[in-house]
Amino acid sequence: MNVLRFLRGYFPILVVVGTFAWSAIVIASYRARENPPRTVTLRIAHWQLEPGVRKAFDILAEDYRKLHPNVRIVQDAIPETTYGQWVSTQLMGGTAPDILELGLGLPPNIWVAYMGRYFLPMTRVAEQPNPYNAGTEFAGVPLRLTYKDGMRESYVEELQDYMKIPLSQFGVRIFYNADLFKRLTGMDEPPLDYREFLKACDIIKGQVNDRGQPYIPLVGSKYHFALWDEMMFEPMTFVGLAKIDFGRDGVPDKDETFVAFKTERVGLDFPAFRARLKMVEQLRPYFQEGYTGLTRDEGVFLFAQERAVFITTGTWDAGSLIEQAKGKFDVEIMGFPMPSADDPDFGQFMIGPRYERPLSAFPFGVTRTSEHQAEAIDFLLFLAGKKQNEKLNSIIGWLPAIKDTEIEPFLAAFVPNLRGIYKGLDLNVGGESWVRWQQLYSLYQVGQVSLDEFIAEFDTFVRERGEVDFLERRNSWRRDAHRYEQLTAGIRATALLADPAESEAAWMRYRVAITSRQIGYEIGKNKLLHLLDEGPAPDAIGPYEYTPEALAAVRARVTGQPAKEEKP
Amino acid sequence: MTNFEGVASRAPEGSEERAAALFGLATTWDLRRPNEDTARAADFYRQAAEAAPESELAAWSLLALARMEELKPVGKEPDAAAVLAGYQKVIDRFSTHPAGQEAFLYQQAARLAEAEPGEARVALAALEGFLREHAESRYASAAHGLMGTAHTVLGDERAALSESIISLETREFDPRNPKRDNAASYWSIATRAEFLLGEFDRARDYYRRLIKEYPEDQRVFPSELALRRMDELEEKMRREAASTP
Repeated sequence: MNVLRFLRGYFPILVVVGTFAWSAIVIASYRARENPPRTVTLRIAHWQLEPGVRKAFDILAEDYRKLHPNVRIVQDAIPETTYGQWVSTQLMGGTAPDILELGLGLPPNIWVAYMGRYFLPMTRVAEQPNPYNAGTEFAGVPLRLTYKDGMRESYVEELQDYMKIPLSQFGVRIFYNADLFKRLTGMDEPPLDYREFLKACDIIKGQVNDRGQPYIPLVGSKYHFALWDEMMFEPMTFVGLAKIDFGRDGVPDKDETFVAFKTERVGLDFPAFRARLKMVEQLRPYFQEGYTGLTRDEGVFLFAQERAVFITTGTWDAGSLIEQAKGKFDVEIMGFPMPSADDPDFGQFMIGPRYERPLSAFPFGVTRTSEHQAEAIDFLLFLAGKKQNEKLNSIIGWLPAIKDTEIEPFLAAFVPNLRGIYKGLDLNVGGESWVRWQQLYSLYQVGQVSLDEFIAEFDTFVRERGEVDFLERRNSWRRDAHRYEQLTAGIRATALLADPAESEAAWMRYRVAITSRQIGYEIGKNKLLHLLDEGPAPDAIGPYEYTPEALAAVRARVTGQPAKEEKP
Repeated sequence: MTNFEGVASRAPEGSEERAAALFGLATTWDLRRPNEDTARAADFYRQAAEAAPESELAAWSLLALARMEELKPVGKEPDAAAVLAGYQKVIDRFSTHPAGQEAFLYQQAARLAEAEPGEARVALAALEGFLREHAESRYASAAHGLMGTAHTVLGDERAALSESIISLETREFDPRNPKRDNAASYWSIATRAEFLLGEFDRARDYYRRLIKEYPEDQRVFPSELALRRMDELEEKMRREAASTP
């Protein structure tokens, strides 16, 4: 009886305690099955929510476990929009995963600071052979030399160390619905000639589907248009480099472009710049209406729904697009159409294909708080092994980062072009000027302002406002100088504290850092300020235009006659 | 900071340990962002220099003080005379020490910053003297680079180009750094030889080096265009000469 009374009185509490005990036992036994004693669990975090990536990591993790049965890999897939904040809280809270994908969601200088503080340097790893390349042609070869780009992008100059292990390469091309293209145009393949491509777009645009909705030749959105800009429109300004490259490094610079603009060496009516805008004018009718306000997903939706034929994006979307098209239509890939050399609008500017530097991406670092640093590094080396890297990227549908790897046949179009032209003018002085540019450019992209209106309005704005923004950039130069001073102080401290065996190399790195960044830093910047002070010089000889002295010297040498004054 | 303060207070006067702690405090107050305190930093640098006057850290402390004169916060301009004098103190006390040689280079760069011919002549003479006295200096490449700048200010592009070439040939190269390559220097030399001086053979030499040594560099295609351009210009001039009576 006492027992019954006890049970009646404490029944609810007994149910709660019993349920808790049961669930604790179930969880503990599940964990014991998943994590036998001495199991090492590695957490790897990234922002790649594409299904192919997570699947690839799971498969490679299983392959790794066959070699290392006590190592279990767990993925944390974090949305892009929150990745930066999530990384910050994890790193600062000391709860970061063992392995983290680097690069998204935070300004570059913050990533550099985080890498210096929270991540292990990978220089020793980069200099050693990858054990997972045993039996391949890369056996005994330092890891960095097995990469297509020599692990160039993994080296963080501010820290003077390799900090990342990248796993893929990316490229941008045009994907298209091959079935729809054939049905609408009758052509087997889209033309690579620019004018023929426009004709094909005209044919597509003139047709409707069975719901009466017009077919859209080119998918547009803010995201997709930026890729058209980068791959088609900006390289048109390559010849502008001849007017603006005062620093003579062959690379356009915002400050140089502004100074050239302000001193009337170039203007927005510079022929190459007009050509860039003219190409936008010719292509914009083929995007869907209102595209400038759309997001990336809205653009992809049109393609997946078979309303649009062409979509430009990178290899990072390849697997996803093919997956969405599966069973519905065939997705093919093409390069960007090129104007011919005698094209009346663009032939003189598009003097070559677009240059693409082969850079490794999809980079990972190992956190200092990892309790299994050796295992984390080992897993990354596994993924960077030739065979494993090939398999990883084959599953995802991306380009491997390692040399001499096989790529999926449909990715052959993404092999980077190493000989070509690139952007020659960069008007992004920042601040209000950049905001105004984006506002006007958006209106121009949808035809709400004409080319001449756009040029006139932005020209006026930059001439009035641009100097204010440029002066703020001057302040940024000073801040940069302070930042480099911090960095070089760190490199010097490393040299001061280096072991005798490392001291020579450490001091050499310090000297390289200060002579390449700090000594003479003001000279190049002041040169630009002096050009501004000198005022307009519309007829000034550009950095890549012959001086009279140069022409005279060439003529004298070629003809054997004494040199005399030449007109430029 | 707490650690540095602890060591500074416990370490014996005149010890390297105390100097190191003071240097650490100085560097932290100098270079931390935000909440830097340059007055405090300067004081600690001075103390570090006085704590062990002949030490490594005395040299680096004096250099840091000179750098603080030049690297003023945004909104403040450095006093040119004070900058030169600050570097001169380091040069006078530690002329053969790396800090002293670095100070010398910063001093000449400061002279060249305004592209004023009088200062450029002073800098050029000083740099020539430096290279005579320190021919084996690890900073020789930087000195030649600054001489090139001085010659440009003085309008002698031929001499400037020669110095740039010597600077390139004597440059230290960090084999670990894949981003520190000579492509930009090759390009600069080639374009200056071509467009400023008409020295096409030299230009061709450096364009070809760029193409051969850095086949993936973005300047390869422009270098190939340059080689064609020079050939075409020479051919055009030959034709003109042949058709001129």
